[in-house]
Amino acid sequence: MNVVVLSCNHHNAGLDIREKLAFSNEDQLQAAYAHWQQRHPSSELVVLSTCNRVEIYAAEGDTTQSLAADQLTQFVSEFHNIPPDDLTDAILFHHGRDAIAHLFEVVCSLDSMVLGEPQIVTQVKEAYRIAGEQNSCGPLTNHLFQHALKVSSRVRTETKLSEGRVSIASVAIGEFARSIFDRFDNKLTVVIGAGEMAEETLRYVQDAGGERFVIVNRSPERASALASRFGGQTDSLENLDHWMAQADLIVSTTGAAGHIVTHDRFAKVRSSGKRQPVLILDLGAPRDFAPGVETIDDDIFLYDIDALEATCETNRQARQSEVVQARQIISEQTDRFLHDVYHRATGPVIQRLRANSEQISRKELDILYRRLPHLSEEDRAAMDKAVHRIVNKLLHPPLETLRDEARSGAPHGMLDALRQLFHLGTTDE
Amino acid sequence: MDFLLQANLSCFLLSYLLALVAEIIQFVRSRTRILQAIVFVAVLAGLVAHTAYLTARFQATGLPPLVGSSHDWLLVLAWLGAVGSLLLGFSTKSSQGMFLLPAVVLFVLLAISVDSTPSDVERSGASRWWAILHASSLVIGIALVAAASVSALMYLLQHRQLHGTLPWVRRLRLPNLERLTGINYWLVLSCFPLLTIGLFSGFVLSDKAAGHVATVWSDPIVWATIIVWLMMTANLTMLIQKKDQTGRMVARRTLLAGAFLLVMIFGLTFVTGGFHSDAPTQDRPGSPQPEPF
Repeated sequence: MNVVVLSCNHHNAGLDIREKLAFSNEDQLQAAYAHWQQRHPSSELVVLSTCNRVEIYAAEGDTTQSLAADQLTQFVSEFHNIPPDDLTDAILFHHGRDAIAHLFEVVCSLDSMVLGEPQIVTQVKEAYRIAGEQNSCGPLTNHLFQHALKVSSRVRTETKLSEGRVSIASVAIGEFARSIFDRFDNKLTVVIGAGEMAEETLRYVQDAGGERFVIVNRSPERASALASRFGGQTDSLENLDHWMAQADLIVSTTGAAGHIVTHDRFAKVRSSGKRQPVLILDLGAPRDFAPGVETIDDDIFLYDIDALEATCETNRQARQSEVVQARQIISEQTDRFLHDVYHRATGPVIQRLRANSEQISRKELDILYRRLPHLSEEDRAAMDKAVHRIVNKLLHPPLETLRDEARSGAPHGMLDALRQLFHLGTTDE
Repeated sequence: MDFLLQANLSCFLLSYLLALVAEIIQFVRSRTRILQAIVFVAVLAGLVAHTAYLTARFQATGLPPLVGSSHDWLLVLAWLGAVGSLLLGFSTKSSQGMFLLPAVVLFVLLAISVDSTPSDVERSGASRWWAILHASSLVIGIALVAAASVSALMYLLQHRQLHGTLPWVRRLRLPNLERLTGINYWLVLSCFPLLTIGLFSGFVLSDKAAGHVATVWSDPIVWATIIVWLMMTANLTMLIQKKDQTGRMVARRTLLAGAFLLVMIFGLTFVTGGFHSDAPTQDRPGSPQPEPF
């Protein structure tokens, strides 16, 4: 087995070089696969290209053919027109067992920028799908990627690596808002400000089922642009109190220098509106809501950026504590994968050895039965059984030794010896 | 037979205790599939033994468990709690077992400590049916008050967790406030008619047994039930009429009613040896026993 990975990711390369090496769309990937197949027709290739990493997995089932890191460097260099010397510091290589363990770590998101993030599984699945469509996968990469997806599933089930959200907006909606509200389709979300944070938070609210949005912003153009993306309406800051009185969820992300909602102002808003729980996500720095607003009544839940960040950090630490267990699973699964591969390599030889033995014993028994026609059916059956047992007992020691050897690596020497000793031919076909 | 029944009782008590211990370990450490499976299997095994015990009691006494004795109906309450715990375990990811299983264990322990001698309710006739209506509506009503108290407790814990005062509550995986408010509302709404039916059928039954209802006023359980009924009625009235009711206010009132109910069950069980024990009437030879309530 010969597996090599060329890896250029956020750990070892900046965005400038990752952008140059990226395969940004499916057309580019198709061209890359065609380019590779032209030069290395017998090898298998899967390209994983995301915003954080470009990884090229090449495999060669035929061990007589060598697959070197230089070939991958040359391929990337030629395809993207980048001198190989420019790549030296930006790319890493993993071979054999390390390459397999690396893929398992990637798909389990141990190697991701955000530990435990789930998108990488979809990205690996997509990369594998495209490679399959381009006829670039073979027995080894098929087995490798299918096994990798199973490992990912096991790690996510048996550890808490993906539990707890780790971004401000996802914690705000996924943990706090969901702990207060059961459904979002009947809730009014009022957004004060129209920046990036507002947009990200709105996306989470929409994913949770939110349908009613009002964006209140100083600049009507930005508010309209944001509202059109989420199907909401806009209003001016003058009507903020009116909307706050009706809101179930208030997201404030302005860049104002001081508090825009004071204690007294919000107390007046609460006394004029209906008595219902309201969640305020104050994502502005400095804060948009004055401290103490949450003490006006029991049903006000106010979280500022520090409170949300503290939860993010707690979740990050909780995920970090799961890394050891995840790595144990990956190590165990890497060994199992290698054992499977080595075991598969011995399969054709074992099969042929058994078939040959069966053929010879059958032939000899037929000759014997022709010489002894008086033997009854029962006698013949008993003799068949005895010969079968003898053959099995003779084959057992060499096959057991072969299996033992396969546990620690591909037993090429022993397979060659068996082929020569038992005249099994030189190919595995 | 008695030995077998006692063994069965110990079996399901131990099963529920095992499930509770597994729930506590999950809360303290982390949720694992093995522990979840232990909780499920232990509660299921407990329920099977529990059901078998109640069936055997029914066959032995000829009376439905609800009217058999205080011992029996406390076990029915525990059985309802165990069924609830098992069903909620299927449908939600919250730690409902941490709330329901202690109640289940408590009811079983309470049942063990009270007299299990069957009451002398008529085996047939109108009084029997009044007794069944009285006992079943009261027991289910009390079960709903207990369930409402559990949901109210969950609400208050979740509320405090969201205000940052009880961060450890996050580990309990409680339902959201909106859902808990809805659950509490419906439980308060549905326990009211059952408690009402239970209370008034008790008066009718007393009238049938003694010829007049006056005797029931000497029974402390009657007064306690009336107080719980009044508390739940007030809670329901405020819930329906007042628009500025916060979920927290409703939860506090429900929890108060539930706590009173618990104290009532505990207190009266230990003081009088069981519901409607003959203690108050033993001093008056010839006076009819206040069977209802």
